[in-house]
Formats: sequence, structure tokens, C-alpha cells
Amino acid sequence: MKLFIPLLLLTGLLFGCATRATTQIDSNTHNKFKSMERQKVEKKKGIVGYWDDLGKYTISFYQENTIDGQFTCVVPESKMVPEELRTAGAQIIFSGTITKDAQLPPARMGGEQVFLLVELDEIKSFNNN
Amino acid sequence: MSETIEKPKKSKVQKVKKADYIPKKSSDIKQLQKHLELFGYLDPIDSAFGTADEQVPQPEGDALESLKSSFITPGEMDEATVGALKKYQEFHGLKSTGKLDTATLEELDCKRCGMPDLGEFSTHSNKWNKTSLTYGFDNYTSDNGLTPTKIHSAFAQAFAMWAAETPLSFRRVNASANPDIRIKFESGSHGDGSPFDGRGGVLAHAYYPPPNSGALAGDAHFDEAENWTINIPTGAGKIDLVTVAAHEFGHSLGLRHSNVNGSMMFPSYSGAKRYLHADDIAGIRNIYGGYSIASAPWIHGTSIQVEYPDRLERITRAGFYTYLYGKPNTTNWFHFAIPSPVIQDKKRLKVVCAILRFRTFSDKAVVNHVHIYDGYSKIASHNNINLSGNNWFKKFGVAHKPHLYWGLGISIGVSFKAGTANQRRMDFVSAGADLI
Repeated sequence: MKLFIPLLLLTGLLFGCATRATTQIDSNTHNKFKSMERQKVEKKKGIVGYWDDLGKYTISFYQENTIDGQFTCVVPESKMVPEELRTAGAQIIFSGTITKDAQLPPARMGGEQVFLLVELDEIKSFNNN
Repeated sequence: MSETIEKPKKSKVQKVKKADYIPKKSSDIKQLQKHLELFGYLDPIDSAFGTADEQVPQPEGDALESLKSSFITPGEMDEATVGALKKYQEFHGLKSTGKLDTATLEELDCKRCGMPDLGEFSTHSNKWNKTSLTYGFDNYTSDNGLTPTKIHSAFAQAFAMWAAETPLSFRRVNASANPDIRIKFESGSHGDGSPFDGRGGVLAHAYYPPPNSGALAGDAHFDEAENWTINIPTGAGKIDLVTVAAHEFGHSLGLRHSNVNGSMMFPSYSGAKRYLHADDIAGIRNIYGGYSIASAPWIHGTSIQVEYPDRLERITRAGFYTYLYGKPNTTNWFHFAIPSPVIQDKKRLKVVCAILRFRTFSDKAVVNHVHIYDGYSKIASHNNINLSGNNWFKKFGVAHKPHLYWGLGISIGVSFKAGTANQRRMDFVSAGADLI
């Protein structure tokens, strides 16, 4: 009995991580910033990029009425993006949740804000919309 | 037995009521003016010419009143100072009286952090660790008749804005020479991990100075999908290349966006801008500082040369300035030859900028171009600048700050539209230069 509850909790945790793996980051990084403010993004037109130095895909979307304002969302796991959209320059529509993460590199360009894409609820090619 | 508490006797010395305080001492007013200038309420450009000994020229008719309010007389509560005080009061939520009442004095007494109230610039932590920077082009756009030559001139004009306010110089080199700031026009994915998004959307992007971004540091990319032009007015759907370039180079030098609407570093594109705002200047000087002038030659407006005298209705030299009336629907060129010390203290001097002091009385009389020469060699072109109204200290930078050999010349391209005589009037007070 002493071991039952911890085992039950551990089992729940493992299964929980497994079911969320396809749409969320892994549990370690999730726990680090779950207290940070998260922002929902709904059906935003974006563009897929790839940062060589991080080895990560990004989804960037434009800040309206600006010269160069954009939000760049780092995708923690490549498999979150469908294979056919894993191309730099692919134009997409997406919905998800983003958050700031101190472990991400600072903005590289003027007008850029860097976020972590915590959850990707929906992504499809802009041409298919 | 109750204790008797003696009431303190009233002091016989009466304190000055702050509500009644009007600075009478010239030194007090100068302090106030310095404070207002430091914090962005009093135009620092105007204050350069408000010496007590300066005799204001005497223009015709009603123009005298407008001229008075453009100058600041140190130590006097003149119109400009009162106007600046009203701006200060408005910004701080005080009654905008232009008078030093109690509330204003208390606000002025508060310690300031030293940052201009109106300065909303924001800087990145990176900066270049050298002042001589190079730039080069990987490719060009051919939108709207743009050629490499025109693009070179346009980008030099953009760099010149920043050069005129800092110790920085910008020299164009071939792309093969590994320039500090690499410029290119690209569409979609272009190898930096941040693809462009087609027409509309992001117009351009530029990388902050080293060390972030490695080889990309400082580089500026322009979305080829946009419709670029250097003409003013730009026309529907077209984007002014000089303005966007100047904005991007602000990022290349380490500036973030500013909250000040009208500044070059304001995030929105709202049409062509050919000049830096005071906030931009404060921002870039916060990073790199200003420059130390070695020589500042000036020449009076009476020395102006007119290329096409028959296109003027009238020209008058009054005191040390010139006022003229252009014929309707004409263009003209005016020239100043600036007596220039090319060598001083055994050192050959370099050109930072030319400076003009002039005004027009309406938008029917416009300065369109200012070209700067060393002898017969053109060293800078400022085109499509469309200046009218009061311009009491207008700088025109020279991006690469070359050594001066043969003497500075300034050529001013102007246009006059149909209108009344007064609408077609221009006054040229003086012209000068900063040499380092």
C-alpha cells in the first residue's frame, strides 16, 4: 500500500507525458515555465523558419502596421510541425499557445520578439485555407 | 496643574510664495532653459543660435513675429522658453500656464534620472566597438526604375542621417570585401532562418550589432516582394526605401523601437521620413556619443549664388541674409561656397555634415535636394527631402566622412509652385559645416 499511491502517481505522470508529447514540450521544460504568462494565438498567418544554431524550427507571424515587427515562436520539437510543412518559407495558419522562456536566445533582429511555442493546436498550409 | 505649551513665535521672515515666483535673474532663467533643453522640451537646435549678442535679422512684414518665436534668448523668458515650459507642464499633468507656479516648481525640484522625459528610445545591449563601418550590397532591386547607382545614393542618404549625429562613418565597399553591414534584397526564405512573408507584412529586417547573430550581425535585408521607390510622393502601394533603410540601420547600430510617434525608430511605417527625430538622436548618442568638432566654418546668406537668376521675381540682400521670390512653376539651384580650412593643426580635416539655416513661407516654396561637394566632387546627395517652413539648423550628413581637399560647396535644389508672392518666398540666413 505504501508503494501503491506513489506508483499510481508515477504511472499517471508517465501516461500523461506520453499523451501530451505530440502537442506539448516535454515535462521538464513544461514545469519550468508553467507559471509564466502564456498567450493564445488563434488562426494566425505565419511562416515557417529554421534556426541552424538552435536546430529548431520557428513559426513567425507579423506584427500589424509595423516595418519589421514580428513574433518568432521556437518550436521545441520538430514533430510538432507536419513533415510537409517543415520547409523554411512555408506559409501556414496556426493556433496554439506561446510563452516567454529565459532559456531562449535573445531577439536577433530589430522588432523581433522570441517566444516558445508551448502548444500547437492546429497548423495547416496557408494555401489550403 | 496643566502644562502650558508655548506656541512658537511667528517668524518675522516671510518666505517667498512659490506661486508668485517669476525668475528675474538671468542666471535662473538660463538654468530653467538648460533643464527644459536637457529634457527635450526646448529645441536644442534653436538654442544654439540664441546668443545674447546675436542680432535677429529684420524680415519684412508679419514674418518678424514668426522669426521671434523661433529663437531662444538665453536668460530671457522669451516665447520659445514659455512655449517649452507649457509643454513641460502638459507632459507632467500640470496646468499649462507657461508660468512657474507652485506645482511646476515642485515638479522641477524633483530629481530626474537624467533621461529625457520625451526620450522613449530603447537600446539593445550590443554596439559596434569601432566607429568606421563598411557596408556592401549582395544584390539590388529594380523596382520603379531603381538602379544600383540610385540605390547607392539612397542608402548613403540613410546612413548619413546617423553619421551626422555620431562619431560613426559608413563607407561602401564591394560585397567581396566582407563588409560589416551586408545589404540584400530577397524574397521568402533567404538563408538566414527568417523568411520574408511576401508583399505587405514585414518590409525588411536587420540584425543587431555583434556578437549576437554571428556573421549576420548588422546585416539588413529588404523584402524584394515589396514595391520599393525613392520618389516622393511615393505613390499608392509603394514603400520609401530611404526611410525603411534608415530605420533598419538604426537596428544595425543597436537601437530598438521607440514609442515616440514621428521618430525614425517608431515601429510603424507612415510614409517617407528624411530626418531623424530628436528621440532618435538621443538614442543613438546614448550608445555612441556625439562627435568633437575641430572646425565649424559658416558663411552668411548674402553669399548665395543663384544658378538661374531669370527664374526669380526678386532677390534682396538684407543685412547678412538673402530673401528671394521664385517665379511660379520653376525650379532653381542655389549654391554656397564655404570657406573651409582643409588642414588644421597639421591634420587634414574630415566632413561630418553641411548645415543650412533657411525658411520658406509656405509649401509652395520647397527645398527638394541638397548636394555637398568637395571642390567639384560630389560627396553626398540628399534627394527628395521636400523641406518647407522654418529650418533653423538643418543638418545634411556625409556618410563616409571623407577628408576635405578643395573646399566645401553646398548646392540646393528648390522648386516654386504657383501661389502668392509671399508663398513663393525663401530666406537663406546662413550655411555652415562641421569638420572633425
